[in-house]
Amino acid sequence: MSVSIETINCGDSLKAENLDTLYARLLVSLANGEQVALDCSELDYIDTPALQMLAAFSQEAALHGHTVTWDKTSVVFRKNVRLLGLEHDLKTIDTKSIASEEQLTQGWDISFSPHINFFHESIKDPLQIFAELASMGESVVDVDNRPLPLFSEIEPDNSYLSWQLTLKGDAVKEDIETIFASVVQYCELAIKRIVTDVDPETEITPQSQSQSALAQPKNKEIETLLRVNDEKLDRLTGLMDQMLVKQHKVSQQFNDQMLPQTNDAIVELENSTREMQEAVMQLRYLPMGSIFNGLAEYVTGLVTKLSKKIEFKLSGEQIELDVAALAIVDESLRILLHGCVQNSIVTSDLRIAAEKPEIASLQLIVFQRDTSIIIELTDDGCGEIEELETGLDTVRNKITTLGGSIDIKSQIDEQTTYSIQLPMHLGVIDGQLIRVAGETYILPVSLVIESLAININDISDIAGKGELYRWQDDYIPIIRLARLLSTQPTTTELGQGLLVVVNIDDQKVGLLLDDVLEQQRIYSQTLAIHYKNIAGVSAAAIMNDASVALILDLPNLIGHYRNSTSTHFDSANSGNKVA
Amino acid sequence: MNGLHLLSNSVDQLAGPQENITHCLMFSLADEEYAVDMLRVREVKVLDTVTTLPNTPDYIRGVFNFHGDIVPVIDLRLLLGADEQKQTSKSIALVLRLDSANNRLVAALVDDVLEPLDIADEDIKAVPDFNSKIDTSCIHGLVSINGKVKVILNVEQLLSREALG
Repeated sequence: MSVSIETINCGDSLKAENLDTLYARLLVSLANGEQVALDCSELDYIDTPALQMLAAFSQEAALHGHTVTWDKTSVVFRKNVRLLGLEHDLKTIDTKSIASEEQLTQGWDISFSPHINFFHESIKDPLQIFAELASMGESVVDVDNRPLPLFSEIEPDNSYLSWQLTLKGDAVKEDIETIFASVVQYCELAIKRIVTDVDPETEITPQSQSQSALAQPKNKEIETLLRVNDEKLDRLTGLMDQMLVKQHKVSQQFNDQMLPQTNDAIVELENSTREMQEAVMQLRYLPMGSIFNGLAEYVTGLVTKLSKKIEFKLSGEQIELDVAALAIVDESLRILLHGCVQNSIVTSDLRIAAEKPEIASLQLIVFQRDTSIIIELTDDGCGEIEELETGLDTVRNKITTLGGSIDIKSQIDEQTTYSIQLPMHLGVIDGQLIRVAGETYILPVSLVIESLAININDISDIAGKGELYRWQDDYIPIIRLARLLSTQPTTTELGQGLLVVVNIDDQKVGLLLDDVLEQQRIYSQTLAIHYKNIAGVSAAAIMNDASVALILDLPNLIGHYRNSTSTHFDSANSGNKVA
Repeated sequence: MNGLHLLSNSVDQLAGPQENITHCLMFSLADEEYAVDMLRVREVKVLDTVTTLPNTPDYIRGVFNFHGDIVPVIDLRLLLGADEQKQTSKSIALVLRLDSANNRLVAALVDDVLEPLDIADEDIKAVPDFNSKIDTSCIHGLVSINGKVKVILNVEQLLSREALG
């Protein structure tokens, strides 16, 4: 009886979440001693847990004297196998790869051993890490598959493999570290510069030369980055806060006693404390510009490999983001950029045929809009996003963990725009401080048009419409902010208050409040850490006097007020309501 | 923590070390005495400023700056319904760990902090249902000492009426 070959179709997507069926099928085939051919021709997504499982299967089949044949393989499958250095294990190539005999002049040796629970902890798949490393230069991957258990004992979502990777070229260590930034706590990682010079005395020189040679042509400032333990930073913030509280008490005591000779010293102390508070807060933030170079290089790498012509423009480098959020934004943008360059933007010939400019345009804009930070990526490609779907899911998940959202607009044959919206507390905003009923609140400066003293003659009280104010040949509604905030207004006479004209969803509205204070850079926190997000408040910030001020989400605050009161938002002549 | 072992008013002086004893911080509120597990108490603090929050229930007094963290402040008197809609006038707050997993904190305003007390599990009685004045969801149980009933707080349930984000 001749041995028949069982062909098993692997489907179009293999990942940790859906491995069960295939695993069971392969176990059966091992038990029955079947010769197996795997059809991987339709795979357009396969992750590391899946490839690891196939490697274990191949190994075990060999132990039983069988050879697994890889019937047909898709491009994605072959690419991912190559990225993980599993060509031998998965027998996708017959010849041994020819080890390069050339002496390396510069490069990095990276040893990467994920912990066994890596796939549970990390949101980044090793494949993504290797793809990013590959975009930085020629890389040789050597996999250590010895820790792989028997196929019957494998836990598909445990991580068993480890890698030794050689990255050739002049990559900067910080860029390599950025790639691993979000996974360092889930793996053992060593990044070593390859030193070819045998003479220990001259060992240092080529390194520093290559570093400066790299820095000069790119005209990049050499920035030294330190890695700081999160807990130490928390401790510093805590100490800073205690100092702030004490400084404020001292100031108050001196103010009460009005001691003139010490006044200067107190003012100086106040100023230094304020500057120090700002400096401590800044430690957690980095400008978008710090990832722009890496992104540009990533695109250049892709463009060269795929021989496409693309002009990549970036703007908004001054916008600052929380460091942890920035790492996730960086990863997400790389996935999107990969999709844009690989799929959406076609080669120059095809573009010319489609009557488009030969050089494609890719644009990344970062800006602050009211209570969010917006990151917009636009390409003028084919406007089809289907091929990116799996990557898009990953990006959506990442952005959701940050409390943000992603919106995609595409016009077939015209362009695609990915718009990532992040909550304000992940960034730094310019805030306008205001006073209402004895409390300080913050409005995003971008919303404020002007503030003015009220002229009684410009007020109209229209039945059913509430109070209106004549402003620049127009009538705008007056909103008594104290009422929206359910606090007791200190100003009841309209003539004594200030009106701040703001732009809310393209509508001008006059906010009645008690005082307008200074503008300030605001480092905010979400209320959801200890409590929850509440209607009308986008975040809160610790002020110079150690008190907490709320950052108002005006559209939401007004919307909430309108919903909770049946009438149009209120007029002056309605009596005081009892809560 | 040494002071805890020197308590004169321990529930049962004869209690052996093998029994389950909870070290409790005691506080007063509207002439009643309450107990809270000492392990739940992060700090006792006099609050300087509390920032009011709009669109929240009455018993949420606002938020305050606790070592750089923004933490909610609740008025236990209003939350428990211990007194007719009268706010707690003093500003003594117990900063409590809401749950052990997330390190969420909440500050609870009380009238006064009293001598700590050791309470044995077996002395804790279930809350009877008839007293409608007090919201029982936040109460772990009652304990009677020298004829006086003390209420044991269930910290985890303090913000259970709010869908925490």
